[in-house]
Amino acid sequence: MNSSKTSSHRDTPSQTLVDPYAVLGIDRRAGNEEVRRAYFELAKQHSPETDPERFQAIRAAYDALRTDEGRARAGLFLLQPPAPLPTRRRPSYDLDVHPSDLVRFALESELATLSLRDDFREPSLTDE
Amino acid sequence: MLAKTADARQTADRIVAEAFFRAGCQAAEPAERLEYLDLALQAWPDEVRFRFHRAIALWQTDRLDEAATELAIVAAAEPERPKAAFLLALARLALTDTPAAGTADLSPTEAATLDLIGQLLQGEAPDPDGAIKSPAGGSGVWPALALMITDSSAAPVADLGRAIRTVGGRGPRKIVEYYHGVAAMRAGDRSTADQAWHRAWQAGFRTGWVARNWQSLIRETAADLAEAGQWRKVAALHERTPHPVTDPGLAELLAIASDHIGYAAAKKGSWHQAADHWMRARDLAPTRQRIQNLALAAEQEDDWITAAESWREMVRRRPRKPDHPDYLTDSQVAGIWTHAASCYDNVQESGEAVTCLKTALKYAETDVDLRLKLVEALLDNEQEEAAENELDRVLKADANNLEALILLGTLRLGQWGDVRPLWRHALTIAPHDVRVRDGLAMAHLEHLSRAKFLSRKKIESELRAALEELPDHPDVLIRAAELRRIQGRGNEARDLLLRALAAAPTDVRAIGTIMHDMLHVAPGDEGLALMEEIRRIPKMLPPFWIDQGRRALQCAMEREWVIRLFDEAIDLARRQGASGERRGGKQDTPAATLIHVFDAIHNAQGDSDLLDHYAEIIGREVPDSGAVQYIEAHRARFFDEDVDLAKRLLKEAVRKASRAGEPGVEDAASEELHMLTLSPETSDLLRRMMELFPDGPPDPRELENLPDEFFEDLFS
Repeated sequence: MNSSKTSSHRDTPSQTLVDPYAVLGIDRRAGNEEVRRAYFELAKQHSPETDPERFQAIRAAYDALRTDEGRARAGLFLLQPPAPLPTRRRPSYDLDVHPSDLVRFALESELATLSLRDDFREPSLTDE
Repeated sequence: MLAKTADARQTADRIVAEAFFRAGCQAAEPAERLEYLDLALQAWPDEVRFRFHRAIALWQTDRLDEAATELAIVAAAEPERPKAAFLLALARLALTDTPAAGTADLSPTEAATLDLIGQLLQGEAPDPDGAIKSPAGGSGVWPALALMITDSSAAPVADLGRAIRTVGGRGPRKIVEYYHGVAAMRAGDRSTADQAWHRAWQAGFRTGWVARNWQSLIRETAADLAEAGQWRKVAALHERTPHPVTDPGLAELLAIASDHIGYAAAKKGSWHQAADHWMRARDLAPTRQRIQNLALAAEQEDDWITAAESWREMVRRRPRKPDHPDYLTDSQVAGIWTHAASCYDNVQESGEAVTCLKTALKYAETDVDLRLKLVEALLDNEQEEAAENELDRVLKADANNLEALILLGTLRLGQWGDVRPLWRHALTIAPHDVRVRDGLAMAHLEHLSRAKFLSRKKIESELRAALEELPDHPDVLIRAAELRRIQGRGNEARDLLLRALAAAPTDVRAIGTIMHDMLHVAPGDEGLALMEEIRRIPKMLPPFWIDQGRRALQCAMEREWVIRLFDEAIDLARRQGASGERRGGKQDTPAATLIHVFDAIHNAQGDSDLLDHYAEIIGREVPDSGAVQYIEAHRARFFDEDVDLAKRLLKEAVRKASRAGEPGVEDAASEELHMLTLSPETSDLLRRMMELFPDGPPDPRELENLPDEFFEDLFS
C-alpha cells in the first residue's frame, strides 16, 4: 500500500466518494431547481445552529451540485452503477462442415497411427 | 588425421541433431516442435526424416504450402516412407481442391480416403458402396460428416457420439467432438453442444469457427442467467470461455456481471474485491464508467499509482464527439487531469504530477489557480526555472495575484538581484499577511547581508527603508540592532532589541537571538532585566537556556554569564519538575538538563573547570539517574580514550536511567552508545555537524550558502 500524504494545495482524493446526491436525497438526474429545493428543505431541518456538522455536509453537497458544471464535475468522481443489460440479440452459429476440417481429420487420423519412436536413430560413431 | 577430425565433427553434429529431434518429439505444441526440428536440420541438413516431421509440424501450424514443399522432398528422397505419399497427396488436395495425380504409391484405403475427401470438397454425395475404410477407424465419422455436408439440416448426433468412443488418438477425436457439437446444435440440443465444444476446445481444437460458435453459445447461457440476475453464475462462465473473448456481446455480459459484483462489494466497503471485479470488467469491455469505478476503488485502497493511471486511461478513452452521451467538456477533462495529479502527489511522483497538470492546463489555459498548482508541482520536482516562467505568466494575466507574488518572491530570494519590489507590491495588496511581511523582511536582510559591498551611507538608507516599511518586524529590528552594535551605537542597539522583543513576545527563535545579542550590547542590568522578562513567558523550556549558555560560551562571554544561563536552564528544570510539566511526552528533568549542559560545554570546547563544576552538581543532586555514568563515559572516551570503558559506562547509564524513570538521560546515553558503534570518522563527522547545527538538520539553502572551505574542513 502506498503512503497517503495529501498536499493541502491539491484535491483530497480520499474525500471524493461522498455522494452529494445521496446527501441531498435526490436522483442523479436532478436539475438546478430540484437541487435547490432539496437543499432548502434539508437546511430547514438541520440548521447550522442545531446540527452544524450535518448542515456543513448538506451545504457542501449543494455547492457541488448547484450548477450544471458542478453536477457534471461531481459525476466524474462518483461510483457508477452497473451498466444496463444490452438488447438481446439472437446469436448465429456456423453449423457447416469446413473443408479444412475434413483434411485436418484425415491428417490427424494418419498421425494417430504414426509412432515417432520408430524414427529415432542411434547415431553411430563410425561412418557406416 | 583431417579425415578423422571431419568424421568426428560429423558424428557430433548428428548426435546433436538426434537430440534436437527427440526433444521436438516430446514437445506438446507443434510450434515448439518446429523449433527443435529446425535446429536438428541445421545440424544435419540432409536427414529426410526430419523434413517429414517438420512437414507435419508446419501443417499443424497452418503452414500448408511449406508443408507440401517438404513432403514433396521427402516423397522424392524416400518414396518408401510410410504415409509420405498420402500426406503429400492430401496436402495438394487441400491446396488445390483437385484430386492429386499419381496415387499409385498409395494403399487402397489411402486412395479411397482421398477420393472421398475430394468428393466432399466438391460438395458431392459420396459413393455409398465405397464405404471408406479410414485408418482412423470409427467408420461412422466419414459417413456422418458426408451426410452433414450434403444435408445442412442433418444432425447425426448419435453416430458421432459413438464415433468419439472409437476414434483413436486425441488429434482426430477433438475434431469429431466439435462436429458432434455441431450436430447437437442442429438438433437444438444446446447442452450437448456446449459440452462437446468445451471438450474440443480443451483438446486444442481452436479454429475461428470453434471459438465463435462456442462463445455464441456461452453468450446465450449468460444472457439467460443475466436476465435472472444471477451475476455470480454469469461471471463464472468466464472461466469456461475461450480466451481472448472475441464475442463483443459475451464480453459485455461478463463485464456487466463483474460490474454488479464489484458494485455490491464496494457498497460493503470491500474495495479490494470491488477493484478486482472492475478490473476484470475493464479488461473485458473497457468503458469510461468502469475505469472511473476502478480509479475510485484504487483511491480507497490508497493505491495512488493505479488510481492515477486509471484516471488517465478514462480521459484517454473519452468519446470525442460532442453529441455523445459520455462526452466530457474541457472543464471536466481539466478536472480529471488535475485529480490524477493529486493522486501522483500522494506518492511524491512529482514528475508525473507535472505532466498531468500541464495537460490539464491545455484544457483550462486561463485557470490561474490551476497554473499555481502547476507551479507547486514544478517546485516539488525541482524545476525552479519552469516554475518561475509559469509565475511570470500568471502575473502577466493578473499582476495582483498575491499567491503568485509570494511564490515568485520566495523563489527569487537568494538569487542575484533585488527582489524587494516584488514583495513591496505584495505588501500593498496584503499589508497584514504574515508571509508577505516575512518575505519582505528576508529580502531586506539579504540585501543588508551584502553590506560589505555597500557604502556606509547606502547601508544607512537601506536600513531606514527597511525599518520604515516594517517597523515592527522582529527580524529586521534584530538585524538593525546588530548593525548598530557593530557601529558602536550600543544604546540604539539595545532599544531596537527591546522593540524586537515587544514585536514578537512569544517567538522563541527571535527571543533567543534578542537575548544573546543583548548580552553583547548590554550584559549588565539590561541583560538581567531581559532574563527576568523572558522568565515570565509561558512554556519556556530548559533547552532555550542551554542554547543561550552554549552561544555565550562560543562567543567567549564572561564566565559569570555562561554559568548564569546554564543555571537558569537547570533551575527551570527543577521548577518544572516540581510542577510536573511535560514537553512532547518527555520530561526535561534536572538530570537530563544537566547532562545536556555538560554536552553543550564539551561541544563548545568549554574548559574543564566548567565541566567539573557541573559534574559535581550531577554527582550531588542526581546520583542515581544514570547521569554520573554518562559523564564518566564522556571522560573515558575523550580523556582516557578508552572506548570500551565508555561503552560499558553508557550501558550502565541506560540501565540506571531506565530504572530511575529518566527518559531524557536514557535517550542521550543510547545515542552516545550508538555513536560509539559507528566508525570514528563517521562519528566525528556527525558530531561536528551537530555542533554546527545544534537545532537539527540545516535548511538545504543554509548549506548552499556555506563556502567551499567549510566542506573541505569538515571532511578533512
